[in-house]
Amino acid sequence: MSVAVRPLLPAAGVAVAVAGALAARLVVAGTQGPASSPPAAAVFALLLLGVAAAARRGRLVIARPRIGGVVVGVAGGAGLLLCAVLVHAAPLQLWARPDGGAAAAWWTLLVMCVAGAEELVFRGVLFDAVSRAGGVVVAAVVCALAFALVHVPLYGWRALPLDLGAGLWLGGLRVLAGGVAAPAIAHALADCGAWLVV
Amino acid sequence: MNRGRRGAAIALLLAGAVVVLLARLAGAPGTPPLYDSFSQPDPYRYLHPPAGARGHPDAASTSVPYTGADPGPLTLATGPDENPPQAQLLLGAGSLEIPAGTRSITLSITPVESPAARPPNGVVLGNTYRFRAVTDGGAALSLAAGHPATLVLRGPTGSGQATIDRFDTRAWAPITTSPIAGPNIFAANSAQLGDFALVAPEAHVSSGGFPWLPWAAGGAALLIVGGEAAFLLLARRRRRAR
Repeated sequence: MSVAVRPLLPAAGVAVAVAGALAARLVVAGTQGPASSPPAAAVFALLLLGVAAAARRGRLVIARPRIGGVVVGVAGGAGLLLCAVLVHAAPLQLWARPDGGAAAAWWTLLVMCVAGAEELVFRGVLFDAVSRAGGVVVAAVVCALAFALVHVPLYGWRALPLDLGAGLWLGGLRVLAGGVAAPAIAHALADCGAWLVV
Repeated sequence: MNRGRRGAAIALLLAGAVVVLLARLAGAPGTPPLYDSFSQPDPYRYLHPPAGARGHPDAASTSVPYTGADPGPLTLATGPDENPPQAQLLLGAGSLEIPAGTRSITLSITPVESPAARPPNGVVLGNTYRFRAVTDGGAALSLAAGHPATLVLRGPTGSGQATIDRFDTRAWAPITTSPIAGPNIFAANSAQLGDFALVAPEAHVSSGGFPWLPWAAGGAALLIVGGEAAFLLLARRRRRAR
């Protein structure tokens, strides 16, 4: 169920706030690198939740997802994972994996929080603000671009096409399901699954 | 849901899937498995650890039987205590020139003493690694022409803009290197195996892992804000024109 709430922050304001959250992530990460720092990821997620709450007049609206949205989200996450499995990259291990059960549990929780917070902002408040002005397709494309750009400082420019495609896919889920639950579920499943399984 | 909205959703999903698949097909190794997450590399392990640093870097070795047919692609990574590995080797199919009579091939990666010679392009970061391929008789194997090996080296935190150098009996020589994946990981293709190390200009060594990040973040923020502001202005004008 999507909740129509007049946003206090215009789209540009949301973008500035997201850029601020990203800058905070970079500062907290320091020389460790923003893609390697759990505290930086946690700060980023908290700030994004703040952006989403501010844009919704102080209420962090998470509408009760309809069963259809959950199904679309699970299927969407499976689709993204399928893409990763089908086109498997070179057999090199270039990223650290969570080490041990407890670390994996904390890692999974944090990844899900970051994914959920990103969706509340990108496919939530930003999508709503832009779609009012330009329709859902324009909103999905703009949000996918913003989503991809935000990840450039984390993974470099070479990851931009992948993030853009993933952003379009998540935007499609948002339009299909009519709420943010579907892309949030898909995002969390794909992030966790791709790093733990592939 | 009306038909137009469903059509838009399907178009977006198709476009997204195509872009994701193309990005993974065309993308260099090192792009994240999908699109987001974080990973926390283990601290670097030095052969001769400075105060407070970890020691005992891992080596790696693997043997494959040889029956006359090409063994296909071969990979080797140091481990198991390094996450991600500090040195990795990737050989494509047909990369090794294997003499007749060979019964098995052994690949190895070993951290070794860094030569005393100073690299022309800076200082050695971390360990020097020896990449070898030998037959069961102990003869060193060379790489076939046009089939370079891909070497991946992870450096200590703050490696900055490093280059992989090869030590050729007397001197270090840099080879074309690309930063890959997360911070401090670099890859290069080499036509020869041997001793390799990451080398960085002294000024860059302590400058932090991602010195370009603030600029990238600022640029991204400007792009987002500028693009959305322009879009909202255009949309407003269109509404007024109606």
